[in-house]
Amino acid sequence: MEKVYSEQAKTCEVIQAGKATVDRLLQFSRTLHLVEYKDFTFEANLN
Amino acid sequence: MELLQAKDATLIQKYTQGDERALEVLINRYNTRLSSFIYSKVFDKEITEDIFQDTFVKVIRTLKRGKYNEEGKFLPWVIRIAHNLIIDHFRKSNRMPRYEMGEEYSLFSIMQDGSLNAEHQLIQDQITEDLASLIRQLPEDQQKVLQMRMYQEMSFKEIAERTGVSINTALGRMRYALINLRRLIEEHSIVLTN
Repeated sequence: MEKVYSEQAKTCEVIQAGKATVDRLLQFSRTLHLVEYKDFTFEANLN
Repeated sequence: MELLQAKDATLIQKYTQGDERALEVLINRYNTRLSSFIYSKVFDKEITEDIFQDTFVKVIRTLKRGKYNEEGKFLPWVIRIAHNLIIDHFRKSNRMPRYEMGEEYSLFSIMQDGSLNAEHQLIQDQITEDLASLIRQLPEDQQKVLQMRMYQEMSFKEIAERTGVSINTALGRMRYALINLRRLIEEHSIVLTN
């Protein structure tokens, strides 16, 4: 029984996205700007 | 400190008003739950990070465009985005998730009860809600035919009798109902898969 559970352990492993990924997302958000023109919305990434 | 205790809806509002710290709180709040959800499907930490990142890129774009309107349901919405990206990942890589099975008999292969797990149930509820709101946008005669056919499983003969029209008219209404639904789904870029 113990062995059966251990085979499934991977499906409920608790993990987290790393700090680098989170920082990249925050950087993306800070630099993303939307420019509206008539009915269109354009994305601009201003680094 | 105040932000850490704020509700999702408040954080979203602050973020859309330009407070970038609110996004950081949201990401950190759901990092473990979302990453673990993705990992439970793909079993690969690098792919998990990629999908996690793509999920939040979509979240950021939607919030910045002011198109988020599911107040109070942030996590199910994010999980649904991640779920769709996981499907895309398996479609692209042309393979299905592999389950590691030992040589011994696996109890889990016969223990599944066929019901949806918590995440899938949340997604399913959201899809049902979306579909219901789309149907409500159809003209009334088309709504009636669609509901009788799909939800009450009535034949077109029965529908025709009940609504006082010919079978051809009932068929035509059903056809236009489906055409209009497809158009609405395309217009709103809605993904109705679980």
